[in-house]
Parts: sequence; C-alpha cells; structure tokens
Amino acid sequence: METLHLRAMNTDILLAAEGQADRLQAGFEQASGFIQSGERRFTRFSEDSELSALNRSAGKRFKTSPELFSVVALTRRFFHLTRGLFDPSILPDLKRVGYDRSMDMLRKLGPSPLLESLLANEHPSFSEMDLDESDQTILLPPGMALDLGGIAKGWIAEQAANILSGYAAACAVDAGGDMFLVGLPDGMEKWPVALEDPLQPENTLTTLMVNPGAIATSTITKRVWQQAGKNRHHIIDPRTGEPAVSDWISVTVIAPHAYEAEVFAKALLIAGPREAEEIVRHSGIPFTYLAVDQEKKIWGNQARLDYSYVNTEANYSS
Amino acid sequence: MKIFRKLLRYWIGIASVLSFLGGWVILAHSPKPVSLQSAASSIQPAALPGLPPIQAYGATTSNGPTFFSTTAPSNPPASNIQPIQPVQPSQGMPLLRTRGS
Repeated sequence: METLHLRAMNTDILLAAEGQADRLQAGFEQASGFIQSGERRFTRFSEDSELSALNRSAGKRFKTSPELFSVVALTRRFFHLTRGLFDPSILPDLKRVGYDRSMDMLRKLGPSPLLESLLANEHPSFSEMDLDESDQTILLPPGMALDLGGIAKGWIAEQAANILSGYAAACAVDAGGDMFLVGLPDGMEKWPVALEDPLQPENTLTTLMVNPGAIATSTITKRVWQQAGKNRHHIIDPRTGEPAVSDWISVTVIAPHAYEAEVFAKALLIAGPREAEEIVRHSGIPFTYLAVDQEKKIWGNQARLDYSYVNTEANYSS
Repeated sequence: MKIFRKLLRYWIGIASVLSFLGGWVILAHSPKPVSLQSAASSIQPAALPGLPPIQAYGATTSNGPTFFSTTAPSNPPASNIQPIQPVQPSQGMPLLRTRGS
C-alpha cells in the first residue's frame, strides 16, 4: 500500500492507496490538490477564504460556490438531527473563550484575553439562517458567523477519498484521525483502525475492525489552551456557549459518511451518556459510537458494534 | 439657596453610598460563575445507574450506552467475554489511528 503524508487543515493528513504505482501517483496528486483547495475554501483563519467572505456578508444574501452551499446545507440538516447540539454558529463563543486563531498560533501566542469579557450566546440562533437552493445563496442574520471546521474536514476527507478511489483498488484518507475508507486492502476483510487513548496519546485503547465507510473521533483533551487561568477546549456546548462539560472525554463514531461521523462524535460528546441514545434514535442514521470516560472505560451502542479488541499496541508498519 | 445645595449634596452622597452597598449585597448573593478547572481533570464521571456492564458479546441493549472492557479478564468465566485475537494487518499496511484533533 502506497502512502502520502501532508499537512493541511491544521492537522496531519495521510493518504493510503493500493493499486498500480503510476496511477496511484496521479490519484495522490488529484486528492491532495482537492484537500488543499478545500482548506482554502472552508478555513475561518484566512480572510481570503469563501467561508470568511460568507461570515462578513452577515445581513446580506451571499452567492456561494456549490461546495460551500453543500456543506452549509449539511450543517442545517445536522443541526436539526442533533437537536441543536451540533451548531456551527457557535463561532462567536469559540472566539470569546480564546479560539480566535489557528491552533498552531494559539499554542504559540496564547488567546486574546479581552474576548472573555463578552457575554455568551449573544448571537442569533442558527435556525434563523436562510438557504435558497434555487440560486445557491445563503443569508446569515446580522451577528451570525459560522465555523465549519469539523464537518468541512470530514466532507473534504470523503471527497478526497472518492477521488483517490478512481485510481486505486482500495484507499483511505485520514485527516487527523477522521477518515474515510473505500474498498478493502488485499487479503483483508476489514480495515484495522487503532483507537487512541485520549489521556495518553502514545497508547492505543483498542483496535477497531471497520467496514469501508467513515470513522471520526471528537475529544476534549486535544485542542486545549489556557485563558485567564482557566483550561479551555474547543467543543462548545451551544446550550451554554461554554466549553462542554461531559462525563465522556472522547467519542468515536463509525458511520456511512465522514461528515456524519464527525458531527455525531461531537454531538454525543456534548450530550454525554444521559442523552446519547436519544440522539442516536432521533438521528435515524445507522451509526456506531464508542465513548471513552475519564477511567478509560468504553461505552457504546453494542447492538451495532462489530469490532475486535486487543490489549497491546499492534505491530503495524507506518 | 445655600441650604438647598447643601441638602442636595448630602442627599446625593447618602444615595450613592446606599446604592453602592445595595449593589455589593446583591452581587455577594448572586450565583458565582463556574470555572472550568481543567479540560480533562474537571470532568467528574457521574455514577451511571441503570447501565450495568454487559458481560458477553452478542448481548444487546436498547436503553443507554453499553460498557465494554478494554482488557481481557484474568480468569474469564466460560460464558463471559472471549478475547478476540488481534488481527494482523497485511504487509505494508499503514497505521490508521482515530483520535480527536
């Protein structure tokens, strides 16, 4: 299996594919080009991105590209399916608690302390956003700004994997742990995917054996920073406008689509054990989840579970 | 006129002091903001009544999440979890690792 590593979307990307070497090379070029153009379109950290232009247009109708329209339309669908726990309009809250620049810059320079003084939830409800499919326009109400970080990453990973699959018998696109798998490697019945220990990232909790499709993990232990003496993380609970406080520290979702896995991992992490099953039932989407608590116990909907576990790090080549 | 000015000054002074003290009392009795002490350590896993560990693969649940052990029991009863042997990936298989980013 051939691999290509690149850095995009503030994370490490791995493309892996099986097939004829010359065709794989062309596939890697096409897929990586798509990832980089997707990042330029969807990042909120560049004033030149289409998403930034949309956010600046709040109060006026904005003509979008088909790609941006597709992803924003997905966000609206998942806002309803998760009962508002997935909400891309929490961007003002995310900035207020300090995530106002890329994570690399945040770690280097620290957050802006002044934003903490602003009030939480002082922005319009996401349900007030209007999409017009006939002319591909979006109207954000004044004061609304979107963060498409996670869902865009999942969407880009899936699209890139589909591009790469045109050149390969089997392939995977792993975007910082959120991945989309197409076909099966030669001689394999499933894809082995290590589930990282959220508290000790050098360790593996278990190895999941998954079918082609998507897998994504959301955690409160990775993108963390300090603001005015408080530890912060990037999973905002839309109900409070504050970093979520949950009984779980990470949630992994296995789903047909990467954007679904990404969205429900985040929503279930916010929901916690008391609401998780209700979110699963309400979604109507056949996905499996595995949640890790502070004691590293794994919880999930076993009825859908189909994986084997190991007790030690598997000896994979990388 | 002088007396009126003097009275006005006293009235403003007393009203200011009383307002300040009133505000102090109200703020002292208002709910305090909860600080997020630590992204990881502040999480206090609550007891989860009604969600007993599932002892065997194949069991299903319809109410709430199910618990899975990540380590094999040292002396597993015959009916308990049977550890599944690790699957060895094919040669050259890249390490796929899901994690939050």
